[in-house]
Amino acid sequence: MNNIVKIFCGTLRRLKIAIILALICGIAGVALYFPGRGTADAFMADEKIDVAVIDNDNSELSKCLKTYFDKKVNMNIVEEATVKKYNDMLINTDISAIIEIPEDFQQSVIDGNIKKITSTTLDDYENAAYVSVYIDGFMRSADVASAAAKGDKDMLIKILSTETGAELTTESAVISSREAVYVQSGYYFSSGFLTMLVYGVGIFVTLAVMDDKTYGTYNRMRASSVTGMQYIIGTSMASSISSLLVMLPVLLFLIISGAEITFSIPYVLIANILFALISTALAIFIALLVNEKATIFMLSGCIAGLGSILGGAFFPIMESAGPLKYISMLTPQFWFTDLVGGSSANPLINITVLALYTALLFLASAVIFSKRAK
Amino acid sequence: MLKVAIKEMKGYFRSPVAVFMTVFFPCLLIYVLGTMLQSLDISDHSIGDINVKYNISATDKYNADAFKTFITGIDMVKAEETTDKEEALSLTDKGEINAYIELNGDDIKVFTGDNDTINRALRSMLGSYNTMADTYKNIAMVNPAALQEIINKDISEMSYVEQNGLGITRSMIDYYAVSVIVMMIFMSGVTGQSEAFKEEKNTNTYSRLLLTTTPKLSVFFGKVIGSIPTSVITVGATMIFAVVFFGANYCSDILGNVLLVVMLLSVSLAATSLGTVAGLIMKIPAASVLMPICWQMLFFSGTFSKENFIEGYSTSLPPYLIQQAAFDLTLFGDGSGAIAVTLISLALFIILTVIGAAIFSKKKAV
Repeated sequence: MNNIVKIFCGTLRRLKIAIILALICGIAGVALYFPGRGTADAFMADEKIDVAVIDNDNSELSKCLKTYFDKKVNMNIVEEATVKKYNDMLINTDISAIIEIPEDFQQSVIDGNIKKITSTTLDDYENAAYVSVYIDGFMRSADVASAAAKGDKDMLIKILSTETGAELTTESAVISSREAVYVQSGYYFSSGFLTMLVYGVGIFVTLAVMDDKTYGTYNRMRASSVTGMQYIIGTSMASSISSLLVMLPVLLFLIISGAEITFSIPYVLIANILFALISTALAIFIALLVNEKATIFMLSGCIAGLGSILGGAFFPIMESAGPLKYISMLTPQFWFTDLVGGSSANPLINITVLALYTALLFLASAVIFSKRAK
Repeated sequence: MLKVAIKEMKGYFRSPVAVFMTVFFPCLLIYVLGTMLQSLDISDHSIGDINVKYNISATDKYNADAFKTFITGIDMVKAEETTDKEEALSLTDKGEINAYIELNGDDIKVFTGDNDTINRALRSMLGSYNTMADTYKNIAMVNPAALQEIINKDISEMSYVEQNGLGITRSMIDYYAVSVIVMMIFMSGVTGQSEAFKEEKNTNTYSRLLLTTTPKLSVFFGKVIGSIPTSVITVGATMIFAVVFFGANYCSDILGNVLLVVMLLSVSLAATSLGTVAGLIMKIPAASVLMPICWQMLFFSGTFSKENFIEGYSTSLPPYLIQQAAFDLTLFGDGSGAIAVTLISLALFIILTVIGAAIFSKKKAV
C-alpha cells in the first residue's frame, strides 16, 4: 500500500501540467454546455425552402405564380442562372426543386388549354408530392379564373392577384417546457467534446510512462520492492484524477445548479468514472506497447478524433449509417455517448460494457508490463 | 535515372506510414465521412405524413365544404373534425397530433406543434387554400354569373404538374470518392513531394548523389518518375476500394472512367512537379508554406464539406475546378471540363519539370 501511495504521489507531481490542463478542459466542458443546448433545435426548419424557377414565359401570369411561391407557399426563388447551374445546385441539395414554367403559359391558361408546370427534384426527394400540391393550388385557381375571365387577360390577372384580406395566423400550442430536452442536448454536446479532450490529457500520462521505460525506472523498480501491479495501480490512480477533472465538472455543474435532469445521475456518474478509467488504461497501454513518440501522437490522435466521431460524440450515429453503426459499437465512446445522450435502452448494459473495457485494458497493460519486466 | 526512380519507389513501399496514409487513410475517410454525413445531405427535412384536427365555425356552407374537401383531399394529410378545442390543443402540445386548425369565417388559425418542418408545410398548404378561396371570392365580385358554372366544375382531382426526377443521384460516398482523391493529390503530391530533396539532405545522401557519375538531370528525372507509382497507387487503389467495398459510383461507361483516371493522374503529376520545384526554390521547409495554402484551398473548395463555399472565391480555386470537372464527367457525362483540366495539368507538369530540371542542374554538391 505504501508503494502504491508513493507511486501515486510521484506521478501526480509529474503530471502537474496535465492536472492544470484537465481543469481547463473541465471548465471548457461547462462552457460548451451552453451552446450545446441549442443543438436541441438543430433540426428546426428554415422559414422557406429554396427552389429554382425557369420562367420561359415571362408574362404577368408567370409573375403572379412566382409571387404566389414567395408569399403564399414559403419558397425562396432562385432565378437568373443557367440550367447547368440549377442542376448542380439540385445535386448539391442547395435547392429542393427546379420549377419550369413553359413557353406560352399565360396564353394557354387564357385559352383554357393549360400547359403543365414541370417540377424536377432528386429521385429520392421525399417532399416532391408537397411541392406538387403547392403548385396545383395556384394552377386550380388559374383554371377557374380562366373559366370566369373568358379570354380576358386583364380580368384573369385581376382575379388572381387581388387578395380579399382573409387571414392565416399561427400560434404555438406547445406549452410544456422543453428545458429537459435542452439540458440533455447541452450535456450530450459537451460530453462529446470531453471524450476527445480526455485522450489529449492522457498523452501526458503516456509520455510519463514512456519516460519510465526510456530512463531505466523499470529496471530500478525490479530491484526494489515495487511490483508491476503496484506501479500500474499507482500510476492509474494519479492519471484517473486528471481524467476525472476533465469529465466530471459539467455533470457536477448540472447537479449543483439544479438543472432539469431527466437522465439517471448514478448511472451517468458511474459511466463518467469508467470512461475516465478507460482513457487512463488506454494511455498506459499505449505507452507500454509503443516505443516511438511520433507513433504515440498518431495513435492518440486517431483514438481521440476518429474514435470520437465513430462513437457518436459529435452527432448521433443514425440507423442510416448502416454497417458503420456496428463498427461504432466497438468503441467505448459509443457506449458512453449512447448513455449520456439518453438513447440507451438499458443503461446497465452500457455500464457493463464500459466496465469490461476498463478491466480488459488494465489487464492487458499488466500483462505487457510483466512480460517486459522479465 | 532508373536506379534513382526504383529507389524512390522502394522507399515508399518500405514505409508503412506512407502506404497507410496514401491508400488506407483515404479509403477510411471516404467510408466514414460518406456514411456519417449521408443523412445530413438534404435540401430540406422530410415532412412525412401530417396528422391534424380541425374545426369549422361561423362560415357559409360553400366555404365549409370547400375547406373540408381541401383538407381531407390531400393524401399525405390525415384530418379529423373535432369540436373539442381543449383536447385538440392538449394533443398538439403532447405531440400526438401535429396541429389544430380553426376556420372561423374566412380566417384560418393554426395552433402548431413543435415540428417546424410540418408547421411550414401546413402554412404553405393553407396559403394555397387561401389563394383558391380568394379566387372564388374575386370571381363572385367580377363575374357572379360564371360562379355557378365554375363551382360545378370538379377540378379537385386534376393535376397541373409534371413531376420529374433528375435521373441522377450522388450519395455522399460518391462525393467523397472524388474529393478525398483530390485532397490526397494536393496534400501528399504538393506538400509531400516538396520534401523529396530535403529528405536526401537530411540523410546526408544529397551531396553524395550529386558527386556520383550520374548526371544531375537523371537524378532529377529519377526523382520525378519515382513519384509516379505513388500517384497511380493513390488514385487507383482509392477508386477501386471505393467502388468494390463502399459502392461508390464514378462514370457509367468505361471511357468516362478512363478519362477520369487520366485527369486525376495528370493533376497528380502537375501537383508533384509543383511540390518538387517549390522544394528546390524555397530555403525554408516548403511544406510549412504549401500545407496551409493547400489546406485552405481544399477547405473552401468544399473538399471536406460541401457547405464550405464562398461564391466568387471558391469557384476560382484549383481543387474546386478539378472536383467540378470530375462531377460533370461522373454525373452528366460531360467530359469537356475533364479534358481541359487534363491538358492544363499536363502542360503545367511539362513546364514545371523543365524549370525544376534547370534549377537542379545548377545545384552544387558542396
